Amino acid sequence: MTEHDDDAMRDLVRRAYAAETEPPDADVTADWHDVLNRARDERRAALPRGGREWFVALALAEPLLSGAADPRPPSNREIYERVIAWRGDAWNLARPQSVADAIEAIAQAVFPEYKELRARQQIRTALGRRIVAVGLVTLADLANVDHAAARSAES
Amino acid sequence: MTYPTADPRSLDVFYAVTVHRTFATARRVARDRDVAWDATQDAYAVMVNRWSERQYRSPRDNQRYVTGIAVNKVVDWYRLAVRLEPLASEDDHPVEEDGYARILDELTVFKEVRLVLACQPVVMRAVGILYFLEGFSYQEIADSRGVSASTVRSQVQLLRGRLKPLVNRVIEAGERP
Repeated sequence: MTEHDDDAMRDLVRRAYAAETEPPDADVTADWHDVLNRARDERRAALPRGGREWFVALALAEPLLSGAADPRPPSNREIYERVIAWRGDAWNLARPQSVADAIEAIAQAVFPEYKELRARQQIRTALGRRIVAVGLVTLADLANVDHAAARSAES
Repeated sequence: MTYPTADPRSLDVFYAVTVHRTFATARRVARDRDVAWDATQDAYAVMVNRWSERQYRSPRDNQRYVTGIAVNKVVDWYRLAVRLEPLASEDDHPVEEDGYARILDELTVFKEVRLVLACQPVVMRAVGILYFLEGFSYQEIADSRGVSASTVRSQVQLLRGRLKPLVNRVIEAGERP
C-alpha cells in the first residue's frame, strides 16, 4: 500500500460518493446574513467591547466616523488623550509601546494575513478604514462613549 | 465545478457558488447535518474576515481553504462536545458497529467505501475525506489541521490499509459497481 495506489483509491472513493443514494441536503439555504453576523461576532470576540484595544480602535476610527474634514490618523499621544477623555483612565496607553501593541492586536483581528502591512509603521490610515468597513466599531459606539463621557463630566 | 466570471472577487458570489460543496464535505466528516451546517457557516465567517487578503487567490484555492476550515470546525466541535467520539491516534481502530460484517455482505462496494470512511474516528474521517475525496495533499491537510505532514501521511497510510481490500475487490472482479 503506497502512494502509487492512491489514484485507484481516489477514483473509487470519488465514484462511491458520487453514487450516494442520500446525497447531502440540497435544500441548504444560502444564509449569507448569518455568515456576516458570525464574522462580525468573531471580530468583536477578538477585541472585546470596552477593552483597551477596542478603545484604541475607536480612536483610530473616530476621524472617519465623525466625518472630519482632514481624517488624519491620531498619534500615540492623541490616542491616549482620547481614551482618557472617554473613560477617565487609559490603562498603560501613555507608553507608546502599549499603543503599538494595541494596534498590532487590532491589525491581527482585521488584517489577519497582512504580515507585511502589519510590520509597517504607517498602518493607521488603512487600519482606521478597515475598522470602519468591517464594523468593528460604529458611529453608534462613538456616540455612546461620547455621551457617557459627557455625563461623567457633568457629574 | 464552475465559477462565475462576472465578479470573481465578490465574496457573496463565492459563497453562493461554493457553499453546497463545502457543506457536503463537512457533512461527510460530521455525519450530522446541524454540526456540518454550523461549521460551514463559521468557515465562511472566517473567510469574510480574511477576504481582503484572499480575494485575489484562485477560486480553487479559496474553495480548498474554506473546506479545510469547515472540516477543522467539525473536528473541533467533536473535541469540545466529547461525544464519546474517539480521535485519531497511532493505535486507532475503526468503530465497528453491530452486524458490521453481515451488513458489508449486503452492500455494494461503493456503499462499503463510504461505510469504511464513515466508521472512522472524526480526525481520520476528516483526513480521509480531504485526501481521497477532495484531493488535498499531505501538506495542505497538515496546514489546515495544524499538524505535521508526516502525521497526515501516517493517517493516510492507515486508511489505505482499510481501503485497499475494496480496491482489490474491484480490480479482481473487474467490478464496475
